[in-house]
Parts: sequence; C-alpha cells; structure tokens
Amino acid sequence: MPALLFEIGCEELPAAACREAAEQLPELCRRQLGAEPSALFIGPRRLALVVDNLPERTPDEQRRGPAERAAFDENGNPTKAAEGFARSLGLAPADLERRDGHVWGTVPGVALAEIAPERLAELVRGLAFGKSMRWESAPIRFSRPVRWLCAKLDADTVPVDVQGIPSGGVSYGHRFAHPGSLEIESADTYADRLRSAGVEPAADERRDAIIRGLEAIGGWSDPGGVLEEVVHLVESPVVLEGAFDEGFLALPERVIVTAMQSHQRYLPLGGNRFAFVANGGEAELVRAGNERVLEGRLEDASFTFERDVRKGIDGLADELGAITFVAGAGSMADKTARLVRLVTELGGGEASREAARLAKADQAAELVREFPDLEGYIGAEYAGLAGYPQAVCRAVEEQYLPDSAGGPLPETEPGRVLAVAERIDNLTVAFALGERPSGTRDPYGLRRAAIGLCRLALTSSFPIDVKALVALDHRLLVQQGAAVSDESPDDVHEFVAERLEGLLDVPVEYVRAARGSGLTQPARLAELAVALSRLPEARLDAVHTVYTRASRLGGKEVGQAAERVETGLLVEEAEREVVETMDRVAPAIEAAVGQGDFDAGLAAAAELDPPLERFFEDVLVMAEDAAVRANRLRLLLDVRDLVGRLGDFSQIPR
Amino acid sequence: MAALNFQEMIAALERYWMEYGCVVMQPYHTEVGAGTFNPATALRCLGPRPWKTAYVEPSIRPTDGRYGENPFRFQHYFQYQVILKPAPDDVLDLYFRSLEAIGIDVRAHDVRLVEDDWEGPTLGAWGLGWEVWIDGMEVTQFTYFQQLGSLDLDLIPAEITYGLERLAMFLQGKRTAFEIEWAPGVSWGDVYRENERQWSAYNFEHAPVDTLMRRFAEHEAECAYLVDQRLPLPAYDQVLKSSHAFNLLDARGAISVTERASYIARVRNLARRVAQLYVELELQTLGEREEADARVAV
Repeated sequence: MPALLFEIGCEELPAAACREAAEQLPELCRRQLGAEPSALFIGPRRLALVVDNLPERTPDEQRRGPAERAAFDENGNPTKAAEGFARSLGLAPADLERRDGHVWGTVPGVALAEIAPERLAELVRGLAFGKSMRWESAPIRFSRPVRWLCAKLDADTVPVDVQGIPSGGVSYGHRFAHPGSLEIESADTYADRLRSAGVEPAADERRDAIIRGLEAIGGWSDPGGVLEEVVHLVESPVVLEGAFDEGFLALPERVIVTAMQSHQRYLPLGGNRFAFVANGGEAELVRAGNERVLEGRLEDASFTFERDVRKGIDGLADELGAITFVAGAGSMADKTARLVRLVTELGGGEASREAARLAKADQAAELVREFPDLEGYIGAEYAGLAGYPQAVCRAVEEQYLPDSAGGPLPETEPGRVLAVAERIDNLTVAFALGERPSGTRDPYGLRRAAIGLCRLALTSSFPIDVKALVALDHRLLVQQGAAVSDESPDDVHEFVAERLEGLLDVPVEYVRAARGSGLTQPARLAELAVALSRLPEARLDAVHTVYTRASRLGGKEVGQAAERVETGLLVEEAEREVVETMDRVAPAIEAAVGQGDFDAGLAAAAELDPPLERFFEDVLVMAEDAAVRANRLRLLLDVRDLVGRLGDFSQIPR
Repeated sequence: MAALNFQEMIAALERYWMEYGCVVMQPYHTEVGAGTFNPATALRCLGPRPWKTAYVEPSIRPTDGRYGENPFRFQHYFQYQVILKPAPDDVLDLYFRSLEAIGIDVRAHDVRLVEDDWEGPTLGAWGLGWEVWIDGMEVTQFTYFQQLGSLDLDLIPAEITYGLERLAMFLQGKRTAFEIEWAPGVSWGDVYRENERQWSAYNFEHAPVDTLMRRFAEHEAECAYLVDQRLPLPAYDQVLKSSHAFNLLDARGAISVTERASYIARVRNLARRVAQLYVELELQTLGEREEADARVAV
C-alpha cells in the first residue's frame, strides 16, 4: 500500500494554533481518507501528516434501499422506487441485493489516488482555529496565511486544489539557513529531507532536543511554563546560555524571573544566568544580543520598581479609585472597601484588616501593569519596604492562594481570611452581574475560585458562612451603587457547595444529601456528608425511612396541609406519640446541627422511627375530616423538615 | 562595515521601499499614537483600491513618558511604517530583505516571528500577525489588518511597523535608546532627552484638563459636522485630535474608570462614521472613473 505525505506550509503559526491543528488532524485524516495518520509533524511553518499504508481504495459501502415489498411488484419486477434507488447509486436495478426485508446497493470504493486532491483540499478547509484571518490570495480562513501545499503518494506528486495556494511536490527548509525550495522525493523520505535542510519537523523531537540541551547546562527551571510555546517557536532548536550584570540581582527574584519568562521566553538558571532557545544564527552573536536585551528589560524593570517604591504601597492604594475592578462593579477602591468589611465579618484581626486595605494596592503599580503575574507578590514586597509587619505582607501575598486545584493554601491566618474574602467577592460580583459560568464557559475562573473557597473552608478554624457573606457583600455592592439587582445572588452558595462533590472522599450521594440540609458553611456540609456516609446501616435505615415516608406522603399533598399542627385535632394515640417524640428530639437535633455534632443529631432523628412506624400502621392520614387530614399532613411535613435539617435523604438510594 | 547611524538607517529603509514601488510619504501633521493612525494607513487601507506606501511617523504617547529618566520609555519615538495593500504572497521575504538592506545578516542572527495580535480600540481595528525578534529584540510589528473603522477590509493589507529605536539599538549594539548614534557625533539622547523631560512635565502636570475636555467635545462635534458635509479627510483629522486630547487627559489622570470606556467608544464611533463615508466616496469615484473609461473606449 502506498504512503501519503501531506504538508500545509504556513507563515509562522502561533503555538496555540499548532496545538489546535495537532488535535484536529487525526480526525480530519480519518474522515477524508479513511485512514489513521502514522505520524504528525507540527511546527510553526508546517502542519504535516504521513499515512504509511494508505488503502488503494476507500472501502465499498452498503446502502439500504426501500423495503423489499415496495421495491418489487407482484410479478417480481422492480418498481419505480427500486429504479430510483439504484439510479441514485449509479447502479442498475439488477445490481440490487435483497436482505433483511430491504434492497441493498453496493457503492464501490474509489481509488484514493483519484480523490486525494479533493479530499486533501477538504482537510485544509476543515481545520478550525480559535482565531483566524483572511488574506489576499486564498478564499479560506486560517490561523496565518498558507503559502504552499506539498502532497506525495509514494513518489507521485498529488496536486491539491485550494484556490490561490501553490501545490506540488516541493517544500521549504529553514527560513534563513536553507532558503529556496526543497524537492520532496517521496512520503517516506519527507522528515529526513527536512532535517537535511535544517528543520526538525516533529514537535516531540524538538522538545526532546531542547530538554537535552537544558539538561546539559543543568539547573534550569520553567516556573512560567514557557517551554511548550518555545517548542513551536523554533524549527531548528539550539539551546544557548547567557548571563546578565549581577547588579540586577538587587531586584526581587520573581521580578527577574518574570522579566525573563513573560516576554522573552527565557529559562532561569539561578543567579544571573539564563538559558534560551534560538532558531539558528551564530551562537556568539545571538547570545550577546539576547544578553543585551535582557539587561535592557531588567534596567527598565528597575526604573519601574523604583518608581513604585517611591510612591509606596499607601500611595499606590490611594490610586485605586481610578482602576476598574469589573465593569459594573466599581473600582478597585470599592473592592478594597468590601474586602475590609468581609475580613472583619470573618473575624479577622488587625493584620487581616490592614492586609485587606493594602491587598489591591499593587494593581496601581506599574510593575503589575507590566507583569500581571506579579500581583500579590509585589504588593507584599512593597508593603515590606514600607515597614508593614510580616503578617500583613504575607497575607497580601497569600490572598490568591490556592491558585490551582492542588496548589498550596495560605499558611497564615490573616492570609486565609483575606483569601476567603477575595473569593467571596469575586463570586458575588460575577453572579450579581449575571456572569454565572455555563458549560465550558467560565471566563472569570469562578469554578476554580469556588473550589479554592471550599478547600479554605475545609481547613480553616474560623466559620465561613458562604450565604451570609455573599448577602453582606451584595448589600455593600448595592450601597456602593454597583449596577446589580437588589436580590442577593443566593445561588453562589449552591455553586460553591456543589464543588464539594469533587473534593470530598465520600460517595457523591451523601454529599448531595448533605447539601439538602440547607447548611451554609461548606465545612459543616462536609462534616455532615462524612457523618452520613459513616452512619451504621441500621441507623441510616431508620432515619431514611422516617424522612422518605414523611416526605413522600406529606410532600405530595402540601397544598392540603394545615399551617401548623393543632394539638386538639390529634385523635389517635400514635399521632400524639409522634408529636411528643418530635417535641423531645427537635431541640436535640437543633442543638446538634448548631454545634456540628451530626452523629448526635442523627441519633435523635432515629428515635422518630418507631412512633412513625406505628403512625403509618394505625393512622389514616387522608382522613374523611378535612381538618384532621390537614393536621396530619402538616405533622408529616414537620417531621420531614425536622429530619431534613440533617440532609435530603431521598438523595441516598436505598 | 560600521553599522548605519539612525539617519542612515532611515534613509536606507526609504530607499529600499521606494525602489520596491512604495509611495514614500511624510509624517502626518498632527499627533498620532502610531503610524497606523496616519490617514495614509487608516483611510487608505479602506476600500477596493490597491496602495503601497512607506513613511516615518513620530509616535506620540503621553502616558509613556518618563521625564527622560528611563532610557527605555518615551512619550515620543519613531516608527517606520510600510503598507502593502493587498499584501503580496512574498511579503515576509520582502521584509527580511529590508533588514538586509540596512545591514542585518539574517543568517548570522536569530530572526523570529512571534505571535502578536493587534487591536486598536479607538480606531475599531484589529489584525493578526507577529512581533519580529532579532536575537530576542523586538524590532518590528507585522500585522495583516482584518478590520479598520469597524469595517471588514476589501483587500487585506500587510502593515510593517519598524520600531526605529529598537532597530537602531540592535544594529548599533546599544543597550538604551539614548546611546544610539543619530548622526556622526550626535546621539539620540542629545537630540531628544530634554524633549522627553519637558513634554513629560507638560503631559503629566501642565496639560490643561478643562480646556482639553472642552476641545475633545469640540473636535467630536466638528467631526460630525464634517461628516455631514461629506468631507471625510478633514473629518478624520478631528478624530485624531480628539484621540490625542483623550490621551493627554488620560496622562493627567483626569479620566475616571467609568468615563474611560465611553471616551474610547466615542472616538471609535467617529472613526467608524468617517470610514464609512470614505469608502462610500471611494466607490463613487471609482464608479465615475469606470464610466469615463467606458466612454473613452466607445
């Protein structure tokens, strides 16, 4: 079977576009050619695939036609329906087969060599990029202009017809080291041919070469994660090492690292050394140029740093009124005021309040405008330089923790308090502005914020009542004149509680049951979920039975229920017994829920099982007398609501 | 060969693009934040007529000044702007040859195209392209415009914007712009450092806020009037003047958070109306010309 090469030659593609193409090409290859690619070659100037064993023909296809009865008349002659079906497949009626009560036609596969030009053109058109552009010569959209197509079936050139893009058996090597065209003899020599022209076409090979180069130097790190982009910034990677003037080491370390990584995509080697990946050129010249550029950037950063320091953290905090937080939710000064109030509500002390006041000051810092990744870190530096206590500085730095699913939590108490307030405010503002995440859309990273909030709640010693905090924050927003509705976004609490499902090591039905309790502290919800999951089978059965029986009947007839239970209408002994038990266990359940002693609460709830059992045996709920009936229904609803304080037991399958 | 000094470098670029067939224009007569705002780009890129031009443009960005203290930030610097509309297929090679024309051996250095998408909110404009690095130094912005004046473009132009100071720093091996040799014995700093100090003082401390606010509104009104009179070229100057007034107000810290977006939207709105009118008149002119050609042919 022949081998196919198809190369789409482009002007330099962004790394993100390379990744999108790498994801889509296998499926496009299957769809257009019915074959799996044997290799992908993805890089800034070419997207290519090779199929080692391309079938000669596409497979024959069986198509089902009309029912046999409709296809032939009583004399066994084909009907119009059969003739039409055969014609649509380019067959004669005599070619049709009968099977399973239908007629079938076989559409023969086609020679791939014949249809390849068209199918490959479709493949080019099928690639979709998050950001795409038009250009003059070709009527398609692509991430960057496509300048050539090269397709070979073994040694034969396949012309691919995409209007305005030259197609043939020719590729191009390294842009500068090997200018001019490169004849590709066959699919199986493609990669080696490019390597001879200074191009490593395989992304994995380039990545390995870069890592080998870095390992040879040793001591490298990539805190900003630039390596994956660098793989798609070069076709001919050469790892080089450089150094800068040690005087710049006076800058905070992360400022240096960020200056290296965020724009220049360098890899820090510690101290005043760095590594970078060139795409060619003479090593000495290229090194000297890069060193000069980095020193320029560091000198610029020093100027900026010193300007910020001259203003001081308090001076910067004074400028927050002129910086938008989120359109519709006022300025960073407004946000600061809310944070201060929230940390107070959370029981934060002097250090927490001071940290909240300074938390957003670095948003006015020039250095943060330049390098947004430095937020928090540089605020802490500036607070330290202004003489604020260590606890305040740490809290300012820790406010963004945890910044990833498994990332570290704040280590200090004021840091925790501030981190909680920060997340409460982000969630409240987004929800109040109608920016709830939906599906995969979560531009403000609210899921991450909610997960972080849960993790903070599960590990903090102070209570975090999400619902109450959101309501408070919302009141503050309204007072500040934010463009939000008057209704507090209650669903923030639900949204946060939902995240517990993925965080707790408890079967999800217990977490869902616990969420039904109406508790508004994630930590309490978690404790309840754990208590439910560990409940001895017999006790769970008892409480579950009470809840489900009471809610099934009571819940169905809510409309008929009385407003409250009238003792005078309690006729049967069994119903009086239920009420008495309720009166006894209700305070116990309330107290247990209040203290978070859920085992005690569940034990108390289980006491309702025997009387309720008798109730259902002895008492006809749907009594003739409407008042008695209404009273009994209310009684059941009261039982449901009381036990429901310990969770929605209908979520737990029995 | 010694590296070209600043003025020689500019002259070499002028010659290169002139020989390629560009109309070599001159800087525009009012303040612009970038060569893109010069009508030779912002308006000429609209409509169906091909256009090739090249010119130096002083880039005026009041908020970027640092009183001449920081040798990497200026409120006034220079761009060399090239527009090829439509972009020819070999536009990148043309660009790389221009680097050779000013003495850069692209094989000896590490020349890279790094993704950079451009957006100009006041102009209602965006495009995709790159920043061009030489040995890690960003020396050029390269953009395929997709939209200008909030209109999709008929012919996709390539915009090549050389940062002349960066380019000269690379060429001359200087670390800061102040050290660039402008002419024999005269540095960039000799020519412009005091300029930076004084203009930074004006931009940040003395630009008259109330007057500028009044001027912004006047330019806006005048622009609308001129659009009504079907005079897009003078109307566009009012867009530039209102945009500059906004930039100065911004440098003075006189624009609040909520006002900011609305100022930008007002300028964009003006730019859109001017662009629509410009295209309309272009099409009208082309139609008349075709009719005249048809008459001659008869």
